Amino acid sequence: MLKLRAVYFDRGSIRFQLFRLVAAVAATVMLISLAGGALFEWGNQEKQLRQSLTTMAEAVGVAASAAVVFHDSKAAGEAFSILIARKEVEAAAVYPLYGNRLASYGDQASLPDTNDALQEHLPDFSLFSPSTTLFQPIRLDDATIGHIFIRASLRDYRNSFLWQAVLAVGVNLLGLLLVLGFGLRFIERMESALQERTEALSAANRELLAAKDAAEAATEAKSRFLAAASHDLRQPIQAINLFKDALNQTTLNEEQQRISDFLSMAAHSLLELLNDLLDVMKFDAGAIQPAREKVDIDDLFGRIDADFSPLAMAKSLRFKLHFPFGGMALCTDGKLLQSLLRNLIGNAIKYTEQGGVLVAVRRRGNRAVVQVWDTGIGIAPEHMATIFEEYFQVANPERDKAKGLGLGLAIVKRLARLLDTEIVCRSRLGRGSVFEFELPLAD
Amino acid sequence: MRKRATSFKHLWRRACLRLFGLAAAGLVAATPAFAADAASEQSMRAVLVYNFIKFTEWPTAAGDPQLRVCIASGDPAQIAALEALDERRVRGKPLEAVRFRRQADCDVIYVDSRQRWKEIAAQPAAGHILTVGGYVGFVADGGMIEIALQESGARFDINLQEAKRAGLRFYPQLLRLARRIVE
Repeated sequence: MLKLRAVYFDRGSIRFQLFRLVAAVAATVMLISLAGGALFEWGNQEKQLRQSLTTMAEAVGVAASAAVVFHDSKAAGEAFSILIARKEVEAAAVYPLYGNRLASYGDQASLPDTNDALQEHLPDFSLFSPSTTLFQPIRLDDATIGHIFIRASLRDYRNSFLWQAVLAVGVNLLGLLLVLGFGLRFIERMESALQERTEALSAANRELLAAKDAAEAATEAKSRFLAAASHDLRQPIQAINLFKDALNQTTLNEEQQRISDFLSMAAHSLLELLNDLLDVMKFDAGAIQPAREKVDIDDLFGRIDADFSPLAMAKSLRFKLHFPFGGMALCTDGKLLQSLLRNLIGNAIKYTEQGGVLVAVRRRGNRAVVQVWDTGIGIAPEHMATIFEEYFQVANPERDKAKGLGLGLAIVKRLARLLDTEIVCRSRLGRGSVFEFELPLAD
Repeated sequence: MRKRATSFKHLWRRACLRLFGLAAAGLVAATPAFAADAASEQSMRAVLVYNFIKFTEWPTAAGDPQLRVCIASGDPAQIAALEALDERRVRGKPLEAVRFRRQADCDVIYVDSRQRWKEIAAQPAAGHILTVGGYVGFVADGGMIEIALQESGARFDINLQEAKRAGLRFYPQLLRLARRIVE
């Protein structure tokens, strides 16, 4: 029991607050109802008392009317016989209109001799006085012929009222106890439910934190792996290249030269593939922070021209670059932009057998729009959605030479994201495609 | 203006007289050993007649708008006292106090001598008349209520049989006060 009390009176706990609330509400409601009931009962008792006494007085009055009219004391006294059955009546008296009282009943000591000092009044139910009095007229034929005076003891009325009050209070207390009992149980249940939920939440929280830690750890591991991989993987390839160069230094016959060339190309492709793969991983690991610098279109396009013109020429394709006269400067990351363009242009050349590739840049408002046009095989509408996903390649029996992991456009998408822009593609199957994106101008 | 004032004064005087009469009667009744004054005896009798009427029930006859009290007395004081009952009301009906002419007109007859009563009784009986007599032996002669003024106060005897025959009923309170009831 003591333990219970300690727990419930811990002021800080929700349990105590709820308990207090329930108790307060219940107690208030009960107090109000008790008060209302008491007031009502009080009024009721008073009304009953009044009715009962006045009816009695009237009966006595009627019985004594002739006696009063004829001034017959004895007969008047006989009229009081009605009062014998009513134990609460202590004294009564009949008065004529003028003169001393005609007859009396009960405790005569307290009765006034004449009706001079008396005024007509109805009985009052008071909690503190031991008795109440009544003084009302005796009427005959609508005229007052005399008065009757009654004194009645309030003891019984008071007792009954008090008993009723005690009973009511008792019932209410019982009710209150019941409410508190049920309330406690309810509170307990609510509290345990709350606790469960809090624990579930904390557990979920902990899991989330653990997952976050794991994710961060994984990311770190990836970065470290990348760093290691890019260094380690490149080395053998570098070696291959070196030895290829060394081989070319020596005297080779035609067939040997051809083989050496193929080896070169293979090594080159391998390096490219590796770079692409590592790039994708780098971008995914979030290891790259794009810079914001001023990038001159002239320089950029100059380099691109130098790099891709030979390639295009090798496939008998035209390669054009359009940019505004007077130059233009962009606010972006130069290296990433270069990478992006290289991927797009490389792709364009790869998938074009005839016609050419056009790279254009122009102003649109305060931004620059860059477009890479090609007259290649195009992309069917149903494939549009997926071209930017990894490992997707449009199957084309014509150009089985188009090798690679299909990572080109996936890298493009990530590069675009890093540069805070978006690649938009429009294409007509068999006619060609255009890849377009926007970049902010440098002020 | 003047006329109104006088009539009000007149009414007031009459009211005071009546009140005094009743009060006097009350005083006389309350003090037993007082010797009845001649003048107030008549008033007392008048008051008694009035009160008897109050406790008598006539058969429900919607006919008369008033209750006529016929005075068969030779005493001018008595006549005057009874005439003072004029226009008083009993159960909403006003009283009309007149000298006795014939039975048919009356609802109440007051007679104060045997001789007079014999004359009245000789006539054919009309219905529903309360007879009150102020002389000794009235009830034996066939009257309904006989008044006897004594030193100890006013007493009365009731002839219930005669009352029944006339179709009248007395309130039980009145019967209880009677000194003697003849059935």
